[in-house]
Amino acid sequence: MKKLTFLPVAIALICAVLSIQSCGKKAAPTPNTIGTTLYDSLGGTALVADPTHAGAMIEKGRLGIRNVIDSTIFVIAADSRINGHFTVLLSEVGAGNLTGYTDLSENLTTFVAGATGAKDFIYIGLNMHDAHDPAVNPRINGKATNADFDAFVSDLATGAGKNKLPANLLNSVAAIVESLRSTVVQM
Amino acid sequence: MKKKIIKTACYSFGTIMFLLLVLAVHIYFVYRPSADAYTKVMARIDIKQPITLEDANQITSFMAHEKGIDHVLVNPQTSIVIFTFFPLKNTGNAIVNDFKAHFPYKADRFLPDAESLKHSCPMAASSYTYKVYKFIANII
Repeated sequence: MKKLTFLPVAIALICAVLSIQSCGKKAAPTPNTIGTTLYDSLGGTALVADPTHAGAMIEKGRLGIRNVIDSTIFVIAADSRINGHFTVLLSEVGAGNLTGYTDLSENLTTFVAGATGAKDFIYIGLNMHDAHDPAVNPRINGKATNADFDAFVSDLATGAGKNKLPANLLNSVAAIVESLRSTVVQM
Repeated sequence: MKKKIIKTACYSFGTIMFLLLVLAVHIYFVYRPSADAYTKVMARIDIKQPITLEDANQITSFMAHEKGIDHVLVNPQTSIVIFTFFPLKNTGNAIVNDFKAHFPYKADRFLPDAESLKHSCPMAASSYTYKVYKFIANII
């Protein structure tokens, strides 16, 4: 009975969320729709066992991206050039929230998955311009500079290298990231 | 008769609203985020002196064998140790204390204050839309 009561509420909430997020869809990265996507090249939608969650399955493309993102997060966290922008990574588990590390890993993975052509994940965070504009997003502690962006790209390459990402795929990912430079760097 | 119908309708509506509220509170407490066996926390140790690549390798090896450690990265250029651990198995402070007891370096755990946590990481969405989405996604 409880399920029957909850169902319409859940459906209404989901519709509300989907309608809100659809408003921001225009700012989402444009996936490569010509032929095979980069996401397919990274492993695509084939389900494989998630090595970090016993019994769970994950798309191979998402797993590959998550591995690179997680490695990159470690590199960034130890990089004094830009780790000041990511202190939330070091937050403890608190009341009503898990860690910044978990959130950042999940959000960045979803964002990159969408940017590389994944169809099964929707990034619903702020668009890249607003996310990096202190006037819109109080969570950013200042405008990103070209030097910050260069450091990020460098750390991404290091993270990808730790996962032995083939050079051609790394170049494709780097091209997507580079295309965001003018949006992220607002100085 | 009309009064009775209105009264009954009001009571019914109130009861339904109350039950929905109870259900919502119940769902929140059942599905609210809480640390489980897969939850990871990231922590950082700042070593207050230069270290070599060999030092970094030794630190990595030591940290990798600490209880509850998930992954370690040591940057010898910045003398920073980054590690993730499972909070159900160990605490960050215990790991850092073991590190300080084992190595002669002057080092401290870096813990950001509440103010800097409010102004960091543009990708960690904190909007209500995101929270509602995550909450529903967690339930489904």
